[in-house]
Amino acid sequence: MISTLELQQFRGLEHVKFEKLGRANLIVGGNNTGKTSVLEALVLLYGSHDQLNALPRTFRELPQNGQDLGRGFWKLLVRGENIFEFKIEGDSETLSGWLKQENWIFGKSSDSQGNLSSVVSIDTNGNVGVHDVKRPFKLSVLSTKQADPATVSDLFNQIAPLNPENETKLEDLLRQSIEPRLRRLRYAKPQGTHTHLVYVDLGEGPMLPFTQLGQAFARTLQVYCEIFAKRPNILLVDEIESGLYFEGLEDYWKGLMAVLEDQDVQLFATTHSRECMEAAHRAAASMADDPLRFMRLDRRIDDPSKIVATTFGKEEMQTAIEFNREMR
Amino acid sequence: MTPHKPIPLVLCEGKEDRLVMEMLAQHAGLEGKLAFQDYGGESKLRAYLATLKVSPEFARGEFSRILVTRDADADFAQAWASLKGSILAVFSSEPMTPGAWISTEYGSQIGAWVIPGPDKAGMIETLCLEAARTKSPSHFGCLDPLMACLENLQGEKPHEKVRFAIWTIIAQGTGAKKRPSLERAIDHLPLDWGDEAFIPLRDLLIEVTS
Repeated sequence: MISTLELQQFRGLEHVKFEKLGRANLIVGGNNTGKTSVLEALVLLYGSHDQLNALPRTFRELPQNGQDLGRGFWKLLVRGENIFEFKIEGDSETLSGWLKQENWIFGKSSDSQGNLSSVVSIDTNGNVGVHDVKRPFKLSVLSTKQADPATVSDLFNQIAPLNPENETKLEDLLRQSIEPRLRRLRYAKPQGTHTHLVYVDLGEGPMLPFTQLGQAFARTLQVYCEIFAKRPNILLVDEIESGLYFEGLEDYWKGLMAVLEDQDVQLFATTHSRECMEAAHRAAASMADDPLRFMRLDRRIDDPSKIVATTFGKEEMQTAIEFNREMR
Repeated sequence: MTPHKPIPLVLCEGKEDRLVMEMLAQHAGLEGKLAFQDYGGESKLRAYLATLKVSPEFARGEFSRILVTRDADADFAQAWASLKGSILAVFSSEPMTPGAWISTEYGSQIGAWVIPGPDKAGMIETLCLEAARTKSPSHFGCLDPLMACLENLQGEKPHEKVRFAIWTIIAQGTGAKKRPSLERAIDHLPLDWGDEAFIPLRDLLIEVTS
């Protein structure tokens, strides 16, 4: 797990530092304060070659022929026009980026002398070249975009061979937080269909493809498949509350936090929802090891170009709830 | 909605303190120039300050100054020490004297004040009663003997809040029908907001906005 994250001259952020990070970290803040930039920084720091390649369109919308905008994404990594270097520091890794003749060079160092352990280059067309990448953490990334149902289903199919108990656990989690009628899940390609999908037995007639059960079910299934099948060290989720009904949020968080602990995964998730923050707090309050932190970005009113970072935990959130104080 | 300019924040111990401070600010021509919040009693002050320190308003720099107040109750020195201790625990620095300011991160200044004023025991009700005595002495001709009688009967001086509650009944005259909380009674009470008793606190509120 990483316990601090520091960004300098990265996108709209001059210098922000988040400390005392937890098992589950909820990133909040007003519009355009840099929540997504934090997720992007983590991809740059710990992402794979494929994740780096996909980064321009992972969390941001690009038009179908958006190659120019994709290239523009890399140019916008630094905060201002006359700045040609940025820095992202996690616990065991520092990434420095230099813009040289319109090409980005990212150097990573993981020792105290600052010796580069790997170098990534991004050329003017946005092509990613990676040399000698050593990644201390394995990263999974979930954006707000609807995942391909076949991909989610394939992930589900990988869970049981890795650990059959996790498939049962996944069914329990979905039953507790989303669909109490759930009896079992099956990976299947019924006659007359072309793709293997996860089918859901609700005990009411034929099994249904999971895509028929709504966004919350699909999203939750995707999150757990990602954890159980890919076994990441760090999971990034953009807008984690997306599609979830507020009444089920606390159960959702209870289940998710237990799985994060059990599978040794650290979560970084953005949210706009006060209900989501409070539900996560209530769920975490019953857990022994204080797993939840809130990371917030705020724009200064005396200097709107400046963003400041605040990290806080359960004591502050409890008082905020008691006094009906807005903490987003 | 986020304001465009920082304003001072006055933290009050309870709703009644807040109400009196708001009225005092209004009569001092400071309406809209100060924000007020109450922190629900001195036992909650430290947690309240800790949460305020990580709040969006504080991080955005919406508070130019934060004045933390509490009642002295029976012991000014103890109340001041407790108030300073809460500020020190949260902001790692403490004001040296009542009304002095210290700087914190994100640019806000913090000051503290014990009511009714330096080296005095009492509370916000004490100030109100002092301010009322000049304006309507006849009410005290009734209240003071009653308090003396109660003290004699109970063997100890009645609490200031008891004295205040009974005064609000007397001062409202025949209009008093419900529990005479300050909130309900304040518009009907013969309080002189320009009275000498309020001057130190009023001047502090003016200074906070300067």
